[in-house]
Amino acid sequence: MPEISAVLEKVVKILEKSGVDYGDVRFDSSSITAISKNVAEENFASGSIRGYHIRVLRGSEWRAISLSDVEAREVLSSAKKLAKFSPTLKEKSSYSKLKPWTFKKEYKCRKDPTGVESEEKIALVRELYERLKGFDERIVNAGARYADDIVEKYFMNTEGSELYYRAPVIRVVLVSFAKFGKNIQVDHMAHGGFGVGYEFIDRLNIEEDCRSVSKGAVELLNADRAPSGKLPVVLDAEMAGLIAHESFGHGLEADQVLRNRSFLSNMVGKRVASELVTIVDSSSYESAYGSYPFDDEGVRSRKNTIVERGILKGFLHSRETASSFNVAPTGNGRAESFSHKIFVRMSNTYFEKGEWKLEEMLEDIDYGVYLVKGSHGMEDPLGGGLQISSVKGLLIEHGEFTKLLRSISLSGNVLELLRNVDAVGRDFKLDSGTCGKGFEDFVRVTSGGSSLRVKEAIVGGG
Amino acid sequence: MAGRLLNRIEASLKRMKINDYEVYMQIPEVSELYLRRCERELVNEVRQVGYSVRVLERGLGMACCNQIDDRSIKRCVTQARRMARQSKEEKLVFPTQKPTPKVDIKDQRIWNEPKNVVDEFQEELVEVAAKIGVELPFAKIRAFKIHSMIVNSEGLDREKEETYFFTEICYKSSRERSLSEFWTTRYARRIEDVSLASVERWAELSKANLYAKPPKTERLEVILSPQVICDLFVPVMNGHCTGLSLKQAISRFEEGETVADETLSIVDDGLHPFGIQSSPFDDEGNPQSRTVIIDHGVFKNRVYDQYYGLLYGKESTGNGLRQGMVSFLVDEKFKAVPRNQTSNLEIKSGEKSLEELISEIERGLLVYKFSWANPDEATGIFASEIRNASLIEKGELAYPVKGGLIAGDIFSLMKNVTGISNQSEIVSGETAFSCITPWLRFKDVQVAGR
Repeated sequence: MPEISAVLEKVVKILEKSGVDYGDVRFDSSSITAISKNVAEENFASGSIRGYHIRVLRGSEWRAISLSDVEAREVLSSAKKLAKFSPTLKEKSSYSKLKPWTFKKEYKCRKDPTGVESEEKIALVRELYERLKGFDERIVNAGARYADDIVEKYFMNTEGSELYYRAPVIRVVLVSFAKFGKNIQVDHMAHGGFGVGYEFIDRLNIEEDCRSVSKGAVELLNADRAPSGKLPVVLDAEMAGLIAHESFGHGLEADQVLRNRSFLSNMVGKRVASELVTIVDSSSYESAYGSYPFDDEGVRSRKNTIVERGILKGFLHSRETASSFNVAPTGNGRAESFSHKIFVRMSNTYFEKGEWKLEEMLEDIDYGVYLVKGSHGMEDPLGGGLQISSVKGLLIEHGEFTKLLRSISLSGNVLELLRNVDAVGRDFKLDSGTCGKGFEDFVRVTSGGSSLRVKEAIVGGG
Repeated sequence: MAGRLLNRIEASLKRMKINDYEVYMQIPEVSELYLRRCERELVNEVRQVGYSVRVLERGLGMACCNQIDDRSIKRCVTQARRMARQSKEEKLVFPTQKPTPKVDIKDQRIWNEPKNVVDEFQEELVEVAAKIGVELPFAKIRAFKIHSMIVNSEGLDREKEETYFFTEICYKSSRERSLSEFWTTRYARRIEDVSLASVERWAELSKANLYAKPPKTERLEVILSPQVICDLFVPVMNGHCTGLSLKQAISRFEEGETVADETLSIVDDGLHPFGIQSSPFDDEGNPQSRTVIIDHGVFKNRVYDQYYGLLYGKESTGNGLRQGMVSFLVDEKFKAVPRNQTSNLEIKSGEKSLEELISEIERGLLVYKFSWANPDEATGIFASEIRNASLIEKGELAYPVKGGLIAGDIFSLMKNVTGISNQSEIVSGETAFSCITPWLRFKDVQVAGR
C-alpha cells in the first residue's frame, strides 16, 4: 500500500528533523481467518488488525507509541509529540548504528489462502472434526481449528532502511478428548508454516494425523500414572524442543542477561552441555512457523548457532542488547503486534541431529521413562530450573517399552540435564506453537530437533 | 466519537439489511512503563479503537477490526455476514435489555491520572527493593482506561467505563554464588489491590529463597497460596462447570453430586466489588450475577452464557466473556469470540488463620508460587515446579524450598481439603484471570524431589 509507505516516510522525516538519536516506525497488518469446530460449536471468525508502532531514542531512554490504523494526520502529530520528549538521564546514546538496507518481498505460493474459498476451508475443518470424532465412541469431544493470517510488515528508520514483506501464515490444530467413566484423556497435534500457501494443507496426511490424535487419547484412558523420582529418561523431539526453548533458550535472551537474571550470564565460551549437543535458533529456517525475513527492528533474519558441541557461543540479541554487548544483532527483536513492546525473542529453536536410533537409546536403560509429545513448559531464566510436561510417556524396562504412561513432568536444572545428555537421535522434527515473554507477548515459534537421552532427571507423574 | 462510530457501524449493518447483529466496541488507553534494574527502559502509550461484529443469519459469524474508515467497516460487516451464512444453523437470539446491577469496576485515580499512578507505583517498587535489600531486575507497570459499548438488534444498548492495573515484578536476591527471585504478575481493578504489603512480601520471598533446599519425594500435607489456587482451580472449574463443558461432554460434575470436601464452597461471583471480571453486564450484554457452583462439597449449578442458556432452557448467568484462558485480554477483548466461562471464581473462606493452618501440620509444605501451574482443564492433572515454598515441621515454617514438583489432579485435591484460611484475596493467576480465594490446605499430596 503506497499510502502506508508515504505515512512512514513522513514519520521518519519528523523523527530525523527532531534530532532524536534513533527512531523507527513499523506498520503491522494482520488479516486472519479462523475456523474451528468441536462437539459444541462451530466458530467462524475473521479479523483485520493493523497499526503503527513508533519508537524514538534520546540518550539512553526510549519512548514509544502504538496507534491503531487512524488517519495519517493523527499518526504524524503523535510522532511529533513523541519525538519532543526530554530524557530524565543525561547519558549519551550507545546505540550502535547499522548499515541501511532495503527489502521487499511478497511470499509467492501456489495457492494464496486469500484465493481459496472459505467453503473449502470450512469443509476441511469439518472433515478433520469428523475424522477425529468418528474414530471411536469413547471420543466424546474433538476439536479442529484452521487459521490463516496474511501478515504484512512495513518498516523504516532514521538510518535509511526501508523494508516490507507480505507472507501468509497457516496453522492447523487437532485435539481429541476420550472419556470412560470419570476418566478423561486428551491428545493433540499441530502443524504450522510461515510463507506457505494453502498447498501446506494439501501436503498434510490428514487421515493419519486425525487417527493418531484420537487413538492417542483413547489409549491414554488405560495408561498408568508415571513413577516419580530421579530416573533415566529419553525425550522425543517435541520434548527436547521444550528444553531447547523454555528451559535453556529463555536464558539466552540477552535482555535477561542485561537484567542480571540469566543463569547463562558468564557462560559464553564455556561448556554448558555434553559435547553431543548443538543448539540452533534460526529465524531464516525455510517455511518454519517461527520464521521471518527481518525482525521488528529491521534486522535481517539468520541462523544462530547458540551451543556448538556443548560450548555456549553467544546470546540472542535485539539491536539494543547487541549495542550493550558490542556485538552484531542476531535478528531476534520481536513484538507480538504493533501494540506491544519489542523484546529479545526466539524463533525456531532446536537440537541439531545426532546419530542414535531410538532402539539404541533404549538398550542400556534398565528402568526409566520415555517422554512423548510436549504439553507445556515454563522458563526460569535466573535459575535454569526445568518445568516441562509431556502429553504422555512410556515406561522403559530392560531396554523395552512396557507400559503407556499419562502426562509426565520433568524438573531439576537444565544445565545438569544437558550435561547428562549421552545420546542424540538421528530424527528431526519442529513443533509449532506460540511463546510468551513470561506471561504475555505471544509470538510464533517452533522448537524441536532431535530426541535426547539423559542419564537421569527428576520426573513426576500427574 | 465512540457513539458516532457505533452509529456508523449500525448504519452499515442496516444498509446491508442485516436483521440480527451485535456490535461490541472498546476504546482503550494504556499507559505503560518498563523498568530494567530500577531504571526506565521504555515508556509506551497505546491508543486503539477496536470493534467486533457478530451477525446471525442462519449461522453465526464474527469479524473484528481496528480501522474506522467506512471501507473497513463495510468489509468487517461483510465478512461477519459471509461467515454467518456458511456456518451451521444456530438457535441463538441476542440478549434483550434487562436491568443490570451496580458494580464497582472503576478506580477514579487510574481513570483520572493513569500516568501518575504508573510513575508512583514505579517509585514504590524501587523503594521496596532498597528497603528489603533486593534487586529489581525488571518490572512492567500498566494502567488501563477502557470505554466499552455493546449494542444489538434486540435493542440492547450498554456502556461502561472500567479500569485495570497490571504489574509484572521480579525481585532478585544474591548471596555469594547463590541467586534467587520472586517473579509474579498481578491484575487488579484498582491500585490498592496490589498493596505495598504484598509487594514487600514478594521482595522478602525472593530473599528467603536464597536458603532454599529441594524437597524430598514424599506425600505431604500442603498449603497453597491464593495465586496458586487461582491457577489450579479456575481452568479446571471452567472445564467442568459451564454449559459449554456439559455440551462438550467433558464435564465430570452432575448436579447434586458430592464432588469436594464438605468444607469447600465455590461461587461464581460476577458482582464482587472490584473483582477482576466483575461487571454490571457480560460481554454479550446480559446482567452478571452470583451463582453457587459448589455448596459444602455438592455440585449445585452451572454458569451459562446466552447460547448455552438457550440450549439448556436456563437464564444466562452473565457468563459470556471475551476472555482468553492463557493470554489474558483486557484492552483487546474485541478480538475474541464470547465464550461461556467463569467470571470471578470465589472460594468461601474458612475460620482459621493461615498461622493456625500451619500450626496444625506435623510435616508439610507451604507453597507461595509454582513456576507455572497450568493444569489440564479436562483431566485436572497437573505437575508443577515449586519456585517459592517453605517446609513446615512441627507446626512451624522450617526452611525455604525450591525445585521438585507437586503432582496430582484437582478433583482429588478438592476431596482432600483439610483447612481453609479466614482471609481472601482478589487475585489473578498466570494461567487464570480471576479468583477470590483464601489459602487452602490439602492432605496426601505427592511431592517429587530428591
